[in-house]
Amino acid sequence: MAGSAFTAAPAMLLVTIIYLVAVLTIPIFQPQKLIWLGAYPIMASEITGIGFLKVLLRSLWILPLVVVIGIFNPILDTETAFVYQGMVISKGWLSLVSIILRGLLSFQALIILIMNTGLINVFNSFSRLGIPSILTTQMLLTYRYIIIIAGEAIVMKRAREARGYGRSNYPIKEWARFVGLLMIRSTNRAKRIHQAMKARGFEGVLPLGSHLKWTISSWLWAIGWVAAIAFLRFYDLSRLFLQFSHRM
Amino acid sequence: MHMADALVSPPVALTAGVAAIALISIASKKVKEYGREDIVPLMGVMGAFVFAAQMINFAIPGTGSSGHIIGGILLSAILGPWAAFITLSSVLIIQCLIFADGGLLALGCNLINMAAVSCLLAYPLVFRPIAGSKMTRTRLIAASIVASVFSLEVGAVLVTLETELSGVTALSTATFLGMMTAIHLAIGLCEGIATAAILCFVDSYQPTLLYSSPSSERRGPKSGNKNFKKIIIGFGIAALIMATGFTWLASENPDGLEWSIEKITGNPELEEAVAPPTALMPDYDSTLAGIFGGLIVMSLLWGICAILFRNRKRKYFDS
Amino acid sequence: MSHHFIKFSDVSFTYPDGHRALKNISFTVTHGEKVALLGLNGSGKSTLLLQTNGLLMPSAGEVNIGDVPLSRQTLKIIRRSVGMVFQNPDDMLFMPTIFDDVAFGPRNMGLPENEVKRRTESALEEVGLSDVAGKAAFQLSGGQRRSAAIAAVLSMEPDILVLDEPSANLDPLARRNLINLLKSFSHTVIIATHDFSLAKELCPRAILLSDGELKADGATSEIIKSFRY
Repeated sequence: MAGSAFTAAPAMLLVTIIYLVAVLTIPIFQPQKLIWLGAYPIMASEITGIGFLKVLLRSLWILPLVVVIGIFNPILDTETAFVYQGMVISKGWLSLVSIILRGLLSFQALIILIMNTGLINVFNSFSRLGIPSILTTQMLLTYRYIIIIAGEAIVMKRAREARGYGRSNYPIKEWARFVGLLMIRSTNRAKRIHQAMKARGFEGVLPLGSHLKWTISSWLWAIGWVAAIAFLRFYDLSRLFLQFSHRM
Repeated sequence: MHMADALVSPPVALTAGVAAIALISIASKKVKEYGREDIVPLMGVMGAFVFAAQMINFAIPGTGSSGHIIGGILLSAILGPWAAFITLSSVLIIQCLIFADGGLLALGCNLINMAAVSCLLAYPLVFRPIAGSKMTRTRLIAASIVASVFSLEVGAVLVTLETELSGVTALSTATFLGMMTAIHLAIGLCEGIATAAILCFVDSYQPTLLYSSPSSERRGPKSGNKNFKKIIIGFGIAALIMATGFTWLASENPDGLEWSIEKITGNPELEEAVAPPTALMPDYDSTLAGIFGGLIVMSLLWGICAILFRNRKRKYFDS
Repeated sequence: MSHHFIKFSDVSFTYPDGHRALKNISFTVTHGEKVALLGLNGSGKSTLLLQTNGLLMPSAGEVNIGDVPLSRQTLKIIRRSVGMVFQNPDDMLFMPTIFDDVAFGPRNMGLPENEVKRRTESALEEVGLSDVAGKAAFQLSGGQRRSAAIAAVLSMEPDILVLDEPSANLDPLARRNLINLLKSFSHTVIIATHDFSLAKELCPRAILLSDGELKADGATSEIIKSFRY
């Protein structure tokens, strides 16, 4: 459970960061490179046993957001990129495809990282890179309690709507009472959490596990993937494919 | 005020990122030294609270619309400036990574514009002086409003500066600046009133919550002049980094990453594979071939991998 | 720690706002005993529980856990001996996965990672949650979260278990699982509860609190029979 036998947390983290940089810096009008870079999520998810299907499905959650960001591009940017069999493809469409692919691929890389390594090991690796443990602890706890506190907010909202006239926003005094109450409940919860932590030996800093080593397999993983990603990022395999298809 | 990736060029992003990292390191040390005993779970829970609070809108009278709170001044009034800065930063980071709300490139800028300005600048320089050491209700309200307006205006100026330096916008600087400051004045007022309303509510029900409040005696000037000076120094360092960074790239090509790599490696092959954004049309026939070819190959790859590694039903983290 | 007993000697506790929550409480729970702590809300049950591991310190009187008197210096040792399961499991499960939650205690103790792993896996197996260890708390049902909270305490291998309303909000099946689980423990156990039938089934002895005072201490069925509101 504490990191896979195959890829220790630091290696996985390093590869993920480099992959994200590679994906996010691809020039916007070259979406074909992004598809080739899809090799990493596909292979990594299969090798680590998660399965690409699962990762792909979960990554679809980001589609609405990405589409919203890019949806205007085909409309605004109608400069022609090229013509294919009578159809004019504009730059706007290319950038839309790029944005969607970027979103999907980077999200998939993050999913694989977290599912394989576990969030807490990811944060421990960050700590080893010098990122202060207070920040990583902070994000851990916030991430954990968002659901609970948001859940409380929804319950309070429903209770209020049952007695009220179903508005979607509130006059400022009422809003302040609502949110203020939520805050007081949150701080009371924090007090109880702190008690539970102390009862199990907490002394101010969250222990994040102490077992992250660089093994030979993790070195191989890191070096291999960094090389592959760099190659795919800078060399356009599409040309190869083009020549290949011309010859056929 | 969330900046999208499209507005920020890599060099600007890098500079802001470095400044943000510096501030976070300083803040972490401060929280470890001066933080209360339960600061860790409190920060975590307050971060989650900010998410929830941002989901609940208040009505803006006169207009038909609604708004939500950002929470920098509010958090500072509860947790103190350094802890509030880390909390708000973590919220922004989570929004960026998991909700894709504002891009990864723009993260550094967003951290500075929203978290650092409100917690590390507006709170100590504006809120605290107005609130004074013997805080009354009136002072609390005034401090909230003025500090919020201040932080949003400064943020607006910074956004303008950053987009200008990124060379992205076609608007003239003066127009853009004018628009931004006007809009953020209104936003700042709303934020200030909302903050004041919550702080007053909390003060009536649980005054000990506030870092220092009208209705209770708190730990008082432990957060006094010593912290103040160090905050200024910390911010000064960040400003210095940003200033040097920005001057360096004021004359640079906006798409600095490709350009820098070319210069460093001097590799002609790289130049070929790299498409400068202002050049007219790299050969696009490989684009379509690449897309279709790529999809085919990737599907094959998936199939092969799925078969090869079929037996790897390993345990993984499922959240 | 030679004997796993709990001894309260004339313990009183007053909250900072002046509320006297415990008045001259004295009792002893011996090795392996299972005791129910009964009383209405506000009677001081929770306050009493919080004294057992030093989350609250008595204003007067003394608490002894085994041979160790409760004091600021002995907090660390005592908290390894006394495992407290809080009323709301969500307050105890604050890590990204159940595994991390159960490993939290042993990690805080500074144990080497393979020992942490061993204890965690054995605790999870004892409560029957081995196959959901990689999941986050919000993905579990109420009963599973209750079990996870118990596992989080078991991994520290305490001698004494203290539980606050363990059967609250559990459906009948989860409740039955909980009772079976608690029955299998050989620890010394104190359970604060409103669930009379659970108290009767698990605990031969009960202590009744009312208004901060110890009103009765004896056979559970007797005390419940004569319980007056």
